[in-house]
Amino acid sequence: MRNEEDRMKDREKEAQGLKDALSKANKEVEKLSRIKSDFISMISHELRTPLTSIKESISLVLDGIAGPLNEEQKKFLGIAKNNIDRLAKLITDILDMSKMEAGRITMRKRKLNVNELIKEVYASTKASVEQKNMEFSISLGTSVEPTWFDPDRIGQVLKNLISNAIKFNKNNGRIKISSAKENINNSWFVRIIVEDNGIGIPEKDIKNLFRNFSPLDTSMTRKYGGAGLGLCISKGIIELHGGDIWAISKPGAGSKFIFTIPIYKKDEEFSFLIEDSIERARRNESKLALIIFEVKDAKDRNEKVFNELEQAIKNTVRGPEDKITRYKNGEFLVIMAVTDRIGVMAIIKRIRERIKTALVFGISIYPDDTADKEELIEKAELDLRKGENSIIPQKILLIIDDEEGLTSMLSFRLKNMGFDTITANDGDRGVELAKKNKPDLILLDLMMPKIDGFEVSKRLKKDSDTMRIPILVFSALANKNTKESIEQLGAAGFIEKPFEPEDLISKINEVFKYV
Amino acid sequence: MDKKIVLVVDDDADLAKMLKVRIEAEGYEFMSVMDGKEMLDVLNIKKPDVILLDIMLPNMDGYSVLREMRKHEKYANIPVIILSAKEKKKMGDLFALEKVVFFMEKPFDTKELLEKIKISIGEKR
Repeated sequence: MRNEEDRMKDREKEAQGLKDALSKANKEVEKLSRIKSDFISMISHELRTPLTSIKESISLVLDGIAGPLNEEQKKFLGIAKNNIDRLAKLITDILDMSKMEAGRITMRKRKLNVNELIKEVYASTKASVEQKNMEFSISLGTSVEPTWFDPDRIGQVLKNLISNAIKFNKNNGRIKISSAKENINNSWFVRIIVEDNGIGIPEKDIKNLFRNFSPLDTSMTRKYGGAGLGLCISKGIIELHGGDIWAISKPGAGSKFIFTIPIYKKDEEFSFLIEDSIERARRNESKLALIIFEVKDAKDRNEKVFNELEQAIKNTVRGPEDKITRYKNGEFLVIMAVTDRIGVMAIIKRIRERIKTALVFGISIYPDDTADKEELIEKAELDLRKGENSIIPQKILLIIDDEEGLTSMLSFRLKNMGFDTITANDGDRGVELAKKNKPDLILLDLMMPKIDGFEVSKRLKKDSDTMRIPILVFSALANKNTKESIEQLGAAGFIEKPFEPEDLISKINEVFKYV
Repeated sequence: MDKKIVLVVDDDADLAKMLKVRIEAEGYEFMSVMDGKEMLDVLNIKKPDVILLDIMLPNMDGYSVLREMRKHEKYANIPVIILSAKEKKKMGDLFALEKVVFFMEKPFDTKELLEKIKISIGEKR
């Protein structure tokens, strides 16, 4: 019995050892892949630079700026120019490919209707298709619903398929793009087809189409210029969207390239959003904010309240990139907002204003290295219990400036950044408000009628209620003397007018760092 | 009327030479410098109507010089066209700097560049 147990332990140890070795090897591979990707990125820059000069010198001659050319000369230089463009495209593709291999390519997915994208791509490529005397049409399915995809990347796939269709065309060429909603194995997809009536692809080549550098057979490559990496990159992009891409073709009868993008069901969409947010946060593209609501009592599980809550947060997050997800996890209701720090502050403000419930809540912001969803939630719950990492107190800023336009503009901007603001348009009122509201920071203009900024500052520093409030002075007067007198006033900082809002914000943050 | 001035900031002397021919053929005055520091020096003497700026430059690179020029009221508003071998996707933050009107990936199309110069200096809307 004892032996049996020992043997079990040995085996477990051995397994653990193997697992560690494997994970170490994996990390090594990832590291190498990154080094390779960095190298290619650098090389790509180095290649583009001389290519630019080559292209420009050829263009100069070709455009007749260095003297007239005969038709023959024009033809040959035209070939050179086309091939430079091909080479440049290839460099871009290699860069994409290596990034894909290193797992460094991120899809910036948004919920959009793919039909809109098709229309856009159609409009932008129409001229180049028609230039080749080809017919170009689109047919958009009316039932196609909005779904999550990266418009730039899916656009890249469409353009690649169109350029292949142009390249492998024949007389009376036609290209048609169509979209439809389709059910495959109980899941819904948007299906997009790029169809041509070109030379087609032999059956034996179809399976190799989407592999690295598989430009059909070599004679075709020579005649038409290879398909290169485009299809391989397209496949990578579609797979990163959870879809599939394939081709149907007959030599002489044209080809159909078909790809799908999943349409998520409501509950699938939740998990998709969580996964996607974690993925993005992992790549440091955005911070993850988890807002956790602890439901102490079953009677507090009021759907209406939660809906209001979710709506309030939804109305607060800032851009189309920001996302809200809600799900239940044991005794916690979790609303996850993908936004940045400023977005988080705005959310907190909104919650405080609007939601009057007995719910305990906490907000946690996590760094980009949190990879696992469960781990994230667990950590957030723990933090909530300890009261750590939660609720960032709202800072109140008092703006004192006689220019009303400026105070209201600044106030608007700062409110959007999650600060609370009060404004005063003269010095007296400013001092009064400072005493009454005890702001965290005062933004003070120097040049004001009646009592000026220097005087305001002196009064504030004399009063025990306001003497500790940091002051940030702004002024159009920026000579050495003013700077010195400002220092004597004990101002925490100075910013010259006119200033960029970003500079002001960074000054404000700087002040808060030391207070 | 005075000729509009196009300032090229690029350490590739060959490219600058060729751009000179193009830009002068369009009837503009051409100036060129090799890096960001020289660009700031030139700006103190003459105000160009548009700047074609490379990113990877010796001494002071394109990012830094852009940030620097925005601080000076006198030339903060000069339109800038970025001409770079770096990928456009990485340039997102530069566009946020507002004064960048266009980005052109190297190798670029000359006709397109000339068009963008025209738009930048307000000869075309």
